[in-house]
Amino acid sequence: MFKKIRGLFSSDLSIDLGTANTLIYVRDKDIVLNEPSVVAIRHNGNHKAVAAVGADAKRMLGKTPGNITAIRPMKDGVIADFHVTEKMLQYFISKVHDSNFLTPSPRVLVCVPCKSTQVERRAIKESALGAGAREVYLIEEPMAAAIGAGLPVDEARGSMVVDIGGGTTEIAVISLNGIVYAESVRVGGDRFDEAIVTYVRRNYGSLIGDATAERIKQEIGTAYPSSEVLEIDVRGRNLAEGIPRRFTLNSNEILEALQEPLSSIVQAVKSALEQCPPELAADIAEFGIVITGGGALLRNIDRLISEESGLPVIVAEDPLTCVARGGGKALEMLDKHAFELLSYE
Amino acid sequence: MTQEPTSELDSQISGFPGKSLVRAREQLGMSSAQVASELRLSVQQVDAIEAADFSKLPNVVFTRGYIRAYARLVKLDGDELVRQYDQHVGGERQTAPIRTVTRIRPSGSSGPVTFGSLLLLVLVVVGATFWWWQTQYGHDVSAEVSPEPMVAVDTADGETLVFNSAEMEQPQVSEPLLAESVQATGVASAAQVAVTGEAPVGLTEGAATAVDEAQATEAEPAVTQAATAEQTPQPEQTTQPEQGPSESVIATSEGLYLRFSDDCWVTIKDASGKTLFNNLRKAGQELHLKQNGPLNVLLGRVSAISEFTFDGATVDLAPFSNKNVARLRVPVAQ
Repeated sequence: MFKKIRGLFSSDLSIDLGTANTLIYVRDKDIVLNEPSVVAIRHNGNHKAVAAVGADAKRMLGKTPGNITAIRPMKDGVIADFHVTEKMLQYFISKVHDSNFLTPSPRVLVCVPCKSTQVERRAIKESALGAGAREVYLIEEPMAAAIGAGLPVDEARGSMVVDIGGGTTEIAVISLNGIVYAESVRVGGDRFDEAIVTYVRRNYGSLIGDATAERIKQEIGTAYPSSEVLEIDVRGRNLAEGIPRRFTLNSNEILEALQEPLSSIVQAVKSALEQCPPELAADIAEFGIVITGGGALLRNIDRLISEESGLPVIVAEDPLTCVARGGGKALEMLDKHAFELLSYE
Repeated sequence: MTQEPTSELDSQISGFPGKSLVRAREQLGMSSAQVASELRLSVQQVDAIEAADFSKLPNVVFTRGYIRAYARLVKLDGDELVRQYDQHVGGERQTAPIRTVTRIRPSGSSGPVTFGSLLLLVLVVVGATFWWWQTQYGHDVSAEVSPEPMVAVDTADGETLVFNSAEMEQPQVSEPLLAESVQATGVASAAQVAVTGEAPVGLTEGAATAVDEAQATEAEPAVTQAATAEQTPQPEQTTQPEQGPSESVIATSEGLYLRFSDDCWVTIKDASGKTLFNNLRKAGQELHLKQNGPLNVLLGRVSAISEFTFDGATVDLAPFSNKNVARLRVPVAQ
């Protein structure tokens, strides 16, 4: 009963609970929160307390003293640490509500990977309920991404969306508000970072952290060779000498480093096109493939997929927020007829 | 979702700089067919972008993507061209500022804190309401629970007696005594027993019948016996104990007399503030208080009063009643 009263003072939310970033869309507003999915926990003996959440916690990653642990509670698009996820959601939900008088109890729509298991979906639902949600709805990520990108999902026309997130890449063919074909591969931004770390260790004999790898990816990472070669100076611990050393990386090296995860994504796209019914494949060939998610910000990734598939590929507007915005649009249709968009356990 | 450009907008080609794309392409020495093959589009689609003829292109989402890809190919600013395209088709995109979590609350978790403050607020509201209620009606409550409220009772012979509620027990106890005295004399009739038995309780007895019966018993030799028996349970008589029945007829016109047609709460206090009567009277009952004024009278339900007289004069309650509750002082000042 108390949740119902508090619900009167809460706005409906759409949450893109991503491996790398959590975004919250507030109904009738817009995206109001975009924070890394990182929580820093301070240990005082047996007592644990949240030290930081979001960007502050992310800055602590890999730089924490013994009594603080910076955790990324999501892994491969699903929950890896249930209680920390719950705490993180609780902070984010209270953050997007202006009033601190009552603990908010909103209706929440959460995006889940299309190939997540029942157990994983239940965990996400429970965690949102534990964070104070009054009701929890689930929507499959590629569907939300397609709505957020502005694709005509309600028409009898095939649309293909590739959502490259932090932990997973979701590929789906959508027509008439439903998913015709979906594929999820556990390759995403995190795998790109790991690939860069591995490449640097193998070729430079130096160890760099995930945060540095991510910075390299964002600044000079590319998915397709181009005439323009970018460079970056990085510092890492030399494994042979045990001393930090400085070295320079260029974009062609990063392209080489990213070959393995990129080829997994390309393979999944090709496989989706193969499995697609011919009428829908014709529509996709005519209009093209849409890329969303943080991975779409990798330079020339559209070019790579376009070259490999021979189809026009476009990057959605504001690809990072597509899923959350799409969830928000679904939320606005929730009271009317959009239950067909939702996913169930 | 789909915003099909109108023919009007198509005529305003100046809104979208398709020509700048053509110029940039020609500077790089590319043909539109080459651009089409690079972008995996058809030549017609590339021509449509250059001519700003967006009716031949699909959904705005795809068109934006094509323009951006084309701009990047010919090394122009894609964002600027897309902005001009949005203006051309009449759609402006609004983006809200994105918040960051900068403040972390102490580990005490917000839930219990807000719950506690809410509970405190509820307690304060309840407390304030109770205090207000006490100050408004508390006096009546205390009068109600006071250990010795005064109760006025009419006797059969028209006398008005004032008891403490504790002393109300005594007349009932005296009933067997009375019965014994009647048996002892062996003269008292059943009617007398009924009259004397009812006298201490005496709440519903009509004044007229009481007077009649009192007159009827006058001829009986045992009347003095009954009179003495009556007097035994009455320790506090506010009026003269020796009163003839003829006086009791006049007595109804003396003091305060009320007749009730429905349940009504009555409180009567004398000039010194001493409570003379504070109780509920039921339909058909009457109240006769032989007390000289001035008296303060509170009637909880004016509509339940069928007759209100003081010293034989009928008092009109209408000027004193407010929301069916009357507060007045008798005798009414002229």
